[in-house]
Amino acid sequence: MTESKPAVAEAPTNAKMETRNVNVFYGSNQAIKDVDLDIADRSVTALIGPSGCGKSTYLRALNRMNDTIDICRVEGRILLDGEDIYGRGVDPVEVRRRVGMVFQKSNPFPKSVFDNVAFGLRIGGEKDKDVIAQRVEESLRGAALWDEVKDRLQSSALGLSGGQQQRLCIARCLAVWPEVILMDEPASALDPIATAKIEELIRELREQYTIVIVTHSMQQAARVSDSTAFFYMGELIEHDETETMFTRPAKKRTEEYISGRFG
Amino acid sequence: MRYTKKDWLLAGLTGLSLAVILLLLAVLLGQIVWHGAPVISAEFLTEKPGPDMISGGIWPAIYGTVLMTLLMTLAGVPVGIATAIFLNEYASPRSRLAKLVRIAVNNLAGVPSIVFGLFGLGFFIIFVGGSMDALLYDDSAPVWGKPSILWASLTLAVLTLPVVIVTTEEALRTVPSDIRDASLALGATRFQTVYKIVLPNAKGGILTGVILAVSRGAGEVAPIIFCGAANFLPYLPTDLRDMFMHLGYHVYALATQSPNVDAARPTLFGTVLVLLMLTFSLNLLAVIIRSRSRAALRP
Repeated sequence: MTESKPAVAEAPTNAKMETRNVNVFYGSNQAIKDVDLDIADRSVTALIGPSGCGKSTYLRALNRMNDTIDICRVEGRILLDGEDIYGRGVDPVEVRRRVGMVFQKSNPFPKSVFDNVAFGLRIGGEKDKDVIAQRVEESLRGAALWDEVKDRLQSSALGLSGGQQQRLCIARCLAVWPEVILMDEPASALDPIATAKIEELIRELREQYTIVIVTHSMQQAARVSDSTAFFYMGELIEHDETETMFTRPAKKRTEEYISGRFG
Repeated sequence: MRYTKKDWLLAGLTGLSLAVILLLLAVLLGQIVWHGAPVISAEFLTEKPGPDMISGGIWPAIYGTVLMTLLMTLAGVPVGIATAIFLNEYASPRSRLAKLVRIAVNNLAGVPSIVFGLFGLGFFIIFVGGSMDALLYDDSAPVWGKPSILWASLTLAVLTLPVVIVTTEEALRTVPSDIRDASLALGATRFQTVYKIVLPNAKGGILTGVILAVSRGAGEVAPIIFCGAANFLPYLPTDLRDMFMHLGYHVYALATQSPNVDAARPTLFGTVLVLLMLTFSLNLLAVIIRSRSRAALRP
């Protein structure tokens, strides 16, 4: 076990999230084994690895979305600003307001564009119409969608194109002012142009947010991320700066995966 | 597409079945409209029945049916919807309690309606009503422990409960789970997710199911025979403890209890027509709501 332990880059002092000995089980199946990983503040961390390696499961552990799966159990410590999000008395609802999520398949509510973005604010208790309108605009601008939808804020979000829908989901996530944004293959269902827009957006959002992105595309990881973590069979094999990972990976398996020899 | 011999056979058989069903429906409805329509007049709809039950109108039966349906809806539908929400949104799929409730609901749906009538008599009237009388009043004449519109409505509420639960659950299941996830990931509580996302999206389906259940309950006669429907009661119920006339029960009474069956026939058909129109209009409402809610989901 110990020699397969990842060569974790010595804990950066600016870690926004730290995970220590994280194990995730589905029933008696162990999906994640002993993962130690630090996620640097205001940076993009990419999680790569073959299908079924546990990267999405790990991602969903970071905002307690796994809580909604009945048979799922998380062990170990996941710290957000030094505080265990699985600690006693921590409200998962509060965690999810701070750690937002964008899903693989864009999932706008069957409501208007405006109401989609305003949803998080309204359930958070915001009543002031001006504040809501301002935050909606700000979030749509933040997601580089404002110019495309400013004249159709009241029409159904389901009428937007796939790429627009995904950016709407990002805007919806930004509206509640999260600190961390988790993205689960956010561009895998999109065409190359829409993908490029999402990637550009991710690079911009890095200035203000801590982003963790799961991706199947090596190129995407190389393009958008600052550091990359390679998962294999539920274990974290290697985590380093993206450039290092893609040019001089420390582990043979990483090299094999990145060069496309398996996976 | 070319039809083979087998295709022709199948098409013929299904076509024949369709024709039989349509013919039966046409004969049934045609008969009722043919014989019933001439009887219907403003007087028939608004007057009390005469002492022979044949002359006069059927207003108390219309009033009783509508009032009973309303009470039944108020009592049963919220419980049914809440149960379905619990089963589909809160209970874990492995939960023993949820399994037990589902088994109970399925069995409840299979119980013959006359058994619900006996249950209403035994549970609501004798047990609940009787206990209330014993607690509240001296042992004189029963106040609550006798057939009344309240107990009849509650009995029917229990009868319609499984239909409401099953159709509501179906409607909830059609709401895609990814928008539930989206809501939760934005920091919504489970309650907020159900209230703001799941229910608005399942509204059409739930309403449709509820109306169909209610329209079924409105026409049921067997369960209320023992529980509060009156043979002949030419005044309107003013209290929950009053008995009441009911269109379905009035049909039964006219057909079996009338001294002169031939003379009663026109009134009988008229009453059936009114009852059918009542349930049909409820069904029509369900159809309209369903098509509207489908249209609303489109972009």
